[in-house]
Amino acid sequence: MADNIRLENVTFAFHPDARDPVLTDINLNIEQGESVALIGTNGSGKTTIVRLLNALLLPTRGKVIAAGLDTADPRNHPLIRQRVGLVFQRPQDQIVASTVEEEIAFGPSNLGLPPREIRARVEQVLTLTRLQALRDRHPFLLSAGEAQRLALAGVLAMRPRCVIFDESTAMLDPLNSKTVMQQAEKLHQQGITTIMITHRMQEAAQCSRVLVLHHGRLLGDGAPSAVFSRASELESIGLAQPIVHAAARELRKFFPSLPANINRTDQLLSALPTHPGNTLVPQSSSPQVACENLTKPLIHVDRLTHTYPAQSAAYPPALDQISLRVMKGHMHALIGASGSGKSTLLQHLNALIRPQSGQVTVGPFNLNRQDLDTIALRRMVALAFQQPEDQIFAYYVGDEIAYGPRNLGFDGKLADIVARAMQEVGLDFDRYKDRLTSELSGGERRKVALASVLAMRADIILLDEPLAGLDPKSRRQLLGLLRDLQQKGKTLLISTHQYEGLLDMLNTVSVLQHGRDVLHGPPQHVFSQFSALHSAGILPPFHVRLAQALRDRGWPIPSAVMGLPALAAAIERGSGAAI
Amino acid sequence: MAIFDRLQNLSIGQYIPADSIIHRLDPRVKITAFFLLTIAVTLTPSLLGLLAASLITVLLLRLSRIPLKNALSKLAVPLPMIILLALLQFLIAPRVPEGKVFFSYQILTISAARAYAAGMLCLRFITLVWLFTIAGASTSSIELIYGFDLIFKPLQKLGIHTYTLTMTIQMMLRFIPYLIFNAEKIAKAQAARGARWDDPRGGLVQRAKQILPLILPLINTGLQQADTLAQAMLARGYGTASRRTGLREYHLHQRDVIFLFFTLVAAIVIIWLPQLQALFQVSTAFPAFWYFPV
Repeated sequence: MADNIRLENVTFAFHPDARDPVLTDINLNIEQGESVALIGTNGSGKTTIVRLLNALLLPTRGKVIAAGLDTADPRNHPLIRQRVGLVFQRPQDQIVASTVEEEIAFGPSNLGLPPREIRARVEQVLTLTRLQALRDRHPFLLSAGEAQRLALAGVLAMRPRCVIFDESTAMLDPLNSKTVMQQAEKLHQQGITTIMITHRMQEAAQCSRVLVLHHGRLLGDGAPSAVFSRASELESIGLAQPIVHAAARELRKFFPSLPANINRTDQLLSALPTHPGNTLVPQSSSPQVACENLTKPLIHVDRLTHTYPAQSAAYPPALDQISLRVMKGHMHALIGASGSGKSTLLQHLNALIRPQSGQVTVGPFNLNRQDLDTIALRRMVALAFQQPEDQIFAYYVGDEIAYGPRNLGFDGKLADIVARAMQEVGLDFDRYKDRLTSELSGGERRKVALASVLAMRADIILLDEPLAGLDPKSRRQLLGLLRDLQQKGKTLLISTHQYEGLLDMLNTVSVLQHGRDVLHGPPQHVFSQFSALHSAGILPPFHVRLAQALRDRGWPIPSAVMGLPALAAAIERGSGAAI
Repeated sequence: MAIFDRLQNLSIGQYIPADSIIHRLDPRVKITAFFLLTIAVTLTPSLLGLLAASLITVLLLRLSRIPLKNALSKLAVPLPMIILLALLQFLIAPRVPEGKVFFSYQILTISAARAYAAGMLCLRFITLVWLFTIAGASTSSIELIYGFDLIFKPLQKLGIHTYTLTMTIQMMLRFIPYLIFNAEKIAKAQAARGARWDDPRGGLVQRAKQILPLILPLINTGLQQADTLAQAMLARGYGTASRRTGLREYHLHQRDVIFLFFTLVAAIVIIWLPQLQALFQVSTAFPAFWYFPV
């Protein structure tokens, strides 16, 4: 029991006599070397548990043993902080020093280790996280993936017995998330306890044990296959089954031979059976490229190039001869690894950045003109920023949402406009209008940010990573809202790493890489180009990979992109044909 | 150009990497030396002392291998202010012994003493700006932090946690680029929702009105980030050991001792040059009013 983690009847409340505590009667034992996932919606108490394990918070009632030590005794804190490392969600929030190697040395310096020992650890960790070449770089100038690796490096230099990842993958693109997961896996193999807090059910399924937290109570604790088999229960508390589990369950109807405990995409794909009969001639699996629409696009970007100021030499040219056409009423997705230029392109479309070279036209506006009426343009084009923290600046929710309409001047009563926008995102006007923005939870903040954009009643809505960091419930709500907006005829341009949920709504897609549009067209076309996607650092959507794997095994799957029901129908037809 | 483009153009630090004698100095020696010189330049009453100080500064500039262009460009920002101050000194500052008066009208007086005082002021400020330029360009922020840490260290014997002092400096340096980028984000978020950030028209009042709505959110987000950072620092064991160590070790070299010695001598000479002259009965060709005390 040397280094285990134990919570005994732990209750925690920020105010001792609060009616509903953040955590209630948690009992938990994690043995050294386990790999554990902790899931739950926003506000379920996940972050509080983590703070308790690191002795940043102390339980109101009960006992917390971290790394074999009682957190109630302050004399244990130095050792607990060394043995239980914490990687936060936004790496830039946890950076202390002004070079990479000093950042890694911060923890060991706090332990009072001799400089020689610190140097040795820094070198070791730099190699481990592949940051050697960047040792003198200002952490501020790192890419998102590098910064997250640095955050981990800073923790590893303490030689922890347990590493907790607190939504560390939420803001990362799929490849960088995969790197974090692989690093966690490596730590697990070295006998280090890993605790992953995540909203991505697929990541949780890769751990050997899943804990489910809901309203401060532990509702589930078990192997992923057991926890994730309770689909309807998960749904009722705002969570979801991982996409692989849902697909495996559906496919078992046709392929009873599929093993019971499938947790990873590759496990599922390799377990798929070959088509029993003579291979049918697959119906055109390469979809025809949509003929160029001859009507004038609403958004037209032609060979746009943008370079950031020379002083920030760390930035590559952010946009390189990029072109884009979006039709009125369409939903268009921009996908690409982080740093591929998605945000820069979006900011061009409402003139936050002016074109350096190339043409940008949005509706009647020519954005190259110096005398552009930016206010009129922004009445037509609204932009929701990547992180709500970047966007919310007013003190009260009501003022925040009213800011846009107040500036741009709209007909009608301001309060009505605000109320309608709040209703659209599911916030109660009377309950929320006088709330302080700084006291909102992560999910609420995102809704406020979105409402403040919707309140502008723009025809074109640009959304920069709207799905990042959302729990499954908020994700479902947002997808529903996007569907509503699409039906109302709004033109939507969405940059996202999480295109799985959008697939059936999208009209067109652009794939960006190093500021260039390497692929564009309807999703059917774009997502079937496996090798081009791979070289752009994009993982094809799950269902596309599933369809391809089936086709490779001789199943007659007619088209590249289709949802699970359509796939199931195709398999059924295929089985029938074989008999 | 919108304000957020301008915000992007601010540089993160003054440090210019180079391999020079000045760059290689022990940071605590460098901090002490430049502190001594700054004191000397500020206090010296004599023009001769100030001229000696400027000469030493130019010498240091050459030794530090900072491009002359860079040093001159550093003057561009404070120069209008310096000239304005000198003009005020020249035209309206009250002054008891006027010396030779060339022109006088009500409070407006032009005299030799005033011309001298204005000249002194210009020279003094320019020398100071260059001293800071050299110190900033030859010391990375890391060295600065280690330097202060080493200088404060003796205070530990009095039971003071000196690393909190050093950490305060480090945090200050850390937050500067973050503040700039936060300001940019907030400005963009406001502009995206109709704030008139990028309106080329509008005078000073308009500008001030633009900046104001930035300040409060900036403080707000800054405080929130500081809170998170404090948690992250505690989580990594900050404040748990009574003694904090560091990645780097510094040892005084012979060159450090020699440099410090020469700086000390230079500071004494700059401040007390006229008295030293009198002491050693050295006569100079300069006319008497050159030593006129300011």
